[in-house]
Amino acid sequence: MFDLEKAIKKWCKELRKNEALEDGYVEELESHLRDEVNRQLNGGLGREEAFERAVEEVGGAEKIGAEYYKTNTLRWSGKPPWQTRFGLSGLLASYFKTAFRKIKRQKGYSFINILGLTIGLSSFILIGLWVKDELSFDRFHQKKDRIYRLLNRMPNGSSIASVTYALGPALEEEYFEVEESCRVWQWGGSLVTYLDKSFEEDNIYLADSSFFKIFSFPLIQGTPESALADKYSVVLTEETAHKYFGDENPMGKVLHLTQYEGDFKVTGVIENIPLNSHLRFDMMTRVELLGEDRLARWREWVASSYVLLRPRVSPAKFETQIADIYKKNIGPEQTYVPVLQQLTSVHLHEFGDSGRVRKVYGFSIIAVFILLMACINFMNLATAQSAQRSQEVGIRKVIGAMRWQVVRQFLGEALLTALIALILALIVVESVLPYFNQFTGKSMALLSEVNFTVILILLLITLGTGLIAGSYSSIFLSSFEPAQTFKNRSTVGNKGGSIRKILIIVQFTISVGLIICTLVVAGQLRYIQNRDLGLDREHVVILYNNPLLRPRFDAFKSSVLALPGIREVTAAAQLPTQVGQSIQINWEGNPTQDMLGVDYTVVDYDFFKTFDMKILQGRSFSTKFATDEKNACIINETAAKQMGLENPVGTNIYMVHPAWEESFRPAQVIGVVKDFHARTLHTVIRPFVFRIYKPWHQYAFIKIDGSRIQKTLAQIQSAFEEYAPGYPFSFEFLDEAFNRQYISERQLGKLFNWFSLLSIFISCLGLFGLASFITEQKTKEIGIRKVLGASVPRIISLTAREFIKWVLVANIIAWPIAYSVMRIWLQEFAYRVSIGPLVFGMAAGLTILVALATVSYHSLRAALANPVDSLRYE
Amino acid sequence: MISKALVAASTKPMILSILLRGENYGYRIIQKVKDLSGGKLEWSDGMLYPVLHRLEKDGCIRSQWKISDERRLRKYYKLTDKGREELEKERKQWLSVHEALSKLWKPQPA
Repeated sequence: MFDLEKAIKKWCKELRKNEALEDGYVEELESHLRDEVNRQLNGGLGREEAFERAVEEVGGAEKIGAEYYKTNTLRWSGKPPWQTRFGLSGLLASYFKTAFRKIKRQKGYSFINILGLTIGLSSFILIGLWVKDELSFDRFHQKKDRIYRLLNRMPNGSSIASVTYALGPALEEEYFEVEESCRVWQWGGSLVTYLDKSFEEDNIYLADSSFFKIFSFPLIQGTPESALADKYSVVLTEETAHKYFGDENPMGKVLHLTQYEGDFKVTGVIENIPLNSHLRFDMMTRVELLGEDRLARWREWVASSYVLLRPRVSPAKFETQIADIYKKNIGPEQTYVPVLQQLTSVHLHEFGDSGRVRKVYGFSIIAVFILLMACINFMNLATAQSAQRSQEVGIRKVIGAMRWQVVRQFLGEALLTALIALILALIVVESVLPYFNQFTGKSMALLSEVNFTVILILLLITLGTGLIAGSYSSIFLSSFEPAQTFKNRSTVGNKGGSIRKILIIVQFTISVGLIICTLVVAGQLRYIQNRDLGLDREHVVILYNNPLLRPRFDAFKSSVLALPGIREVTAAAQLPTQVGQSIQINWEGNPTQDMLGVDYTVVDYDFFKTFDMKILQGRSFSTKFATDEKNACIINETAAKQMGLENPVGTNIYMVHPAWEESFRPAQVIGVVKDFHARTLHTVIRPFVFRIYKPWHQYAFIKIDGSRIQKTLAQIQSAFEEYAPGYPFSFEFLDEAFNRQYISERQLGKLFNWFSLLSIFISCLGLFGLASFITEQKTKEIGIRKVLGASVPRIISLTAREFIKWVLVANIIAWPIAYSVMRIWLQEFAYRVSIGPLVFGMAAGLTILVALATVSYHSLRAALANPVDSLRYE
Repeated sequence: MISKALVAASTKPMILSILLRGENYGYRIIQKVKDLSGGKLEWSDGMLYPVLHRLEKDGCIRSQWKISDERRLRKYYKLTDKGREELEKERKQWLSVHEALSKLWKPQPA
């Protein structure tokens, strides 16, 4: 028996194989065929004959396909490509072509979708590269698994990276487990001269001769054994060698280092140091130059020290073995314990426990968030998009198309969109990378080394997103009853609306959170800039009071003071905003006789005048009193308070400084200065003591007039060159130095700025697409309202109200989270802003405004449309 | 037997004119076109659908699927304002050509 239905279905299947026939075409042709069959049947033919005649009338699949193709493309030959290509590649290509064409048809949505996902992927990739780089530090050292930095663990559990320099050699001598030890002093600097070339070098490391035996800095010239063999030998990097010697062979040549008062022979040249090394230096010489007896002291916490353990030594076991080494060498009351820190974690934990690692975690989280938002967007828009095409799905169901075919189609589109976004993201990253490298001070490359795993992960993420989006929308749609899809499109669209709502709320929550963080960080930065530090740092020029200038400083000072535009001149051992030295003091009348730790520095007479620091009690240093230079000191309010002295003027203080002779250690308080910030705002103001000690006055400070700065500087330069010939004139302004202390905070601020913008943008993209969809659904409703007399603003408010509610919910959720996170960050600062309600208000206001603007575009269009059109739409 | 080229040129105004009378679906439109062009076309029915879709893409006509009571699915087409304009343009063009040819083919006085 001839089965008509089966024959028709078979005919349709053949037709469908032809790729030129898009959605609905086959169905239309099938409908036509059926009508023709009926006509033939009515003419009296049998079913089989009727069918065959009808097929003849309608035409063969090939020809129809070709005809369609001709009208749909601009191809010159008018011949479809599949008629020239064949095989599996043809099949795959055709599959993609269909999907591609579908995407082109819904250009608006597709554009938004791809844009959002591209931005999300690009950000994720960039941050991923950054994180990978941060984690890759110091991995180029061959013995890295056996190299450890020594830390001091304090009784409260935290560790610091400064140890005594007696520790390393002691460990090496006493314990077989230690193959080599090395002390590294990272703050060497000097004027370096070769013949007539001099440069001020501020990146000289002092280390033990074992340095190159532990660390893998490839030596172009010299060997690890001979490189630092001599106390007066120096090792240069390629770049530094070129700076002094050009193309000549540097080996054996002599450099004069003024700071260490000696001639140094070049015994090694190393390759330029890669960027991802925490040890970065231009020159290296021996640590013994710090002073042999200083190095032998157990009570002085100096700087970093490293050990190379022998193979198969367990670091944990070794730690327990050496635990009481301090007790043995200093005394039983010593509570510090030495611990080992793996080389590869030094960069992230540069201060012992803390350091950059928090930033790395933070940014990783942000990267995940942004990608999440982009993926959410993608899924949201894909489902909204497919709801629009529900009619099309309905058609297919009526015809009897299998559910999996529908699923496959939507899936294919989603995957293709996701892949396009991935490719675009890679292009974006590649072009943005140079600027990103500049901003972060790195040199990352996208297609370098073993990025296969990275690319694989990315591919998986992209495909995953496409898969989830595609399957969600297709499964959700293909479950529809066809009749539904034709009747009322708005009910169809609202299914799954609650999930979309949640997704949008999540996106806005993240955005609000980021905005709040941005505002708080900006607020704290502003606070730092404007806070009264207790000293005036404006227009202060800093010069290096070099060894040639220092003995003649007083004469230099008078010359400069005579120049126009100069207000004050003074000198000190450190920058007043960046004091890093502390010392223990005792004083007469100390009830407990417990020493007090204070910050200190040594300064010139006019120090307080130059920085406009108020003397509250007593007086400042004065040349009128000869003893000021020998035995006078000035303390700050906090010191007086902690010493329990209301009138400290006249009290005798004893400063336990190992480098000062006994006669110099006691000093009498002659004045009390108002509290000021000697360190960054992270630290509470500590007790402070000032003395005069000219040999240590490394920095000269010149307060100049704000006007004619260039001229004044030029004159200072002439004076400088007169008193310190041969030294290069380089200067800095104090507020520049001050700002540099907060570089990481400023970078953080900038990054938060960018991320907030990005997340808002992505959220708006999602909202835009969604609003477009929902407004379209309501076109009829809006048309009716207009006809009934509603005004344009009223219509806009009706449609926008729903969205604003969502944004408010997002705000409410985000506020407590952002507040807690920012409070934790702010706690790093001893002096900080408080997170006031203004910040939350601004975040809410901003997001509502932005959401309103995004949604209004569609509402306005709908409101302004001619109601006749809207009602005729269906 | 009308040449392919001529058929191709005339299907557009024919379809638009048919739709001027009101909404209609593919099968009926094509039957009408066949009747009006008299006898056999060198094309098969199926090949006229691309023309319909071309017109839709150009914005001259608009389509909508509808289900009849017997659960038959049909795609209905409607003329748009642009379509009306296009039709008017075509009408003018054809009438001009017709006028020119009529004058040429008027029986000449011997």
